[in-house]
Amino acid sequence: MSHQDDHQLLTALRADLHTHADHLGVPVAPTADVLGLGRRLRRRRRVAVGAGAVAASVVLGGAVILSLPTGQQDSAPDPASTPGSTAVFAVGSRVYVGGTAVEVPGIVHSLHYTSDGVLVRSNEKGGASNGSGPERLTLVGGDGRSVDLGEVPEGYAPATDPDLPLYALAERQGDRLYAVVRDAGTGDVVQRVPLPDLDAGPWDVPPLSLVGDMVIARFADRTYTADRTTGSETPLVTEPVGEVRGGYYASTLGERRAVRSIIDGDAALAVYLPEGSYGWLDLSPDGYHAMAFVEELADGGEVTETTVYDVGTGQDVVVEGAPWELGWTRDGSVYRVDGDVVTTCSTSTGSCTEETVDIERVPEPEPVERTETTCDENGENCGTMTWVDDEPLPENTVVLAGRSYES
Amino acid sequence: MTRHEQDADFADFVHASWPGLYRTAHLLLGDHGLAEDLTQTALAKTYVAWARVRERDAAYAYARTTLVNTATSWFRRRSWRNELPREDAGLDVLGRDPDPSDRPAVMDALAALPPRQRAVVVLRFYDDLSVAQTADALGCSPGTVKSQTSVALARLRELIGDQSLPNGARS
Repeated sequence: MSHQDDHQLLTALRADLHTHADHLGVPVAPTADVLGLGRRLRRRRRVAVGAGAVAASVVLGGAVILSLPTGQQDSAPDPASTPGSTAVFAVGSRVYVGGTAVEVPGIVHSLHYTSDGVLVRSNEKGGASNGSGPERLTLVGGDGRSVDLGEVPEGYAPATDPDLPLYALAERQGDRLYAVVRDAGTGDVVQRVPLPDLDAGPWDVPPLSLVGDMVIARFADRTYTADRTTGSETPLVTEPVGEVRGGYYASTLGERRAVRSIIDGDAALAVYLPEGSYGWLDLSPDGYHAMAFVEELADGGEVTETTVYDVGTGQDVVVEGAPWELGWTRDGSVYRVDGDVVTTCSTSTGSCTEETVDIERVPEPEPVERTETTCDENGENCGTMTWVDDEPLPENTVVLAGRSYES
Repeated sequence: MTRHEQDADFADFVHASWPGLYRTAHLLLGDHGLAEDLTQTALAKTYVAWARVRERDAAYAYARTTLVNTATSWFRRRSWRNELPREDAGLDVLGRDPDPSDRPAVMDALAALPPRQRAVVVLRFYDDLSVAQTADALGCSPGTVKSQTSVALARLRELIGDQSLPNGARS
């Protein structure tokens, strides 16, 4: 190719790129959505603990009661070893289940309850949710035992029902898309449910929910529900738009937030968040409770407490802590991890108990000031940006259980 | 600066930077919905760092680098490789959002490039980044940018052919 040809091509290329870009219909900047998403990202990072000493013991009520076992690999956990009211969380590569700390490969990304134990998703990229690469699944029990369940591709969130010893993943096999249901204790395939190959929106595969015999796949424009035992479609009266938990899903209509039944679409719970605030309802793993996930108050004040509702009765309790600091236990209590103190609160009575756990952490480096200068093609119009890099290390970030994940 | 002042400051930045970032995102992805998602995600990540940003002059470059890094992460996903630019898929990708002002030859050829080559072309010839800046944005070496540019241009030349060049570009 001659120099003149190159010049022609580049001229045409530049002209067409700019013509195309200049004539694009640019949507209005969704500033509120950007701010909302940014705050959620920031809070996800903020739930971190500082540097500390290596764990040696668990302290309950101020008294040392046992040393942390490190867990046994590839031995199926005893399902009874993880009581429903146990606060389960992870810091770095360690999963804390009651009095046990279990090491898993990489850094923990998410924690999902099954009736056989806690399904842990981890990766070698600091627990990242974006750019994680392949991730590993491990079943962890309160008895310290764990089972390696193999790798899943990035962006494939497992769906669980806290009352079932199963997990489901949306998987492609050839040209077909399936919800593959597996035994949480072995990883063996239990059912393979065909799914329509529809647009999954921003996801590689549709987010799944597992509710009893139902497996629910949320595509960009519709929700598909199937009976996993027969593989046949079981259309619902209403199409849930978010994750389904215990037969319920959270919906938003104007200022009204509701929890609706997937069976008839009726609102089992309807609440109005504080006027002018921004938030939504977040369901417990079993769907029986919902917390008002208020991200921002009208006056810009700090969110320091969270209201948790009983979906069936509408009764509520108020617990200390912002919603992004709260995890769910398997049976619908909430907990938070503040330093070495784990506080678990009943969502029926609002009463709380505290447990002190020595959590293994790595020392945080001193904040570093960084500067980046960029210029245009001609080395002109340079700009310099300086910021203080004080992000907490992934090894010290607390991951809470029972949260919703779409990918 | 209070949190509300910071948010107001950032909101101004979103308004100012959105059109440019969105256009780059659309050229990278060829789809309005995905471009909107990508731009929103990149700005949200920029928001996380906003409180620590002391000089705002280069904030746009920071946001654009974040946008490209996020797109690169999306490219790594398996379905992206299945869905996005292959020679026979390019027309379909850009065809989702037809725009009468498009010059299809170059844009369709661009859509037929593999994602990394496409990113190199967009950053170098739309955003006018240097080789070094493109390498920084893509997290690769300047040599890789040069080789990817060379391969991409050769491929574009094959796909476009002389007849498709705009009048102003012909000798």
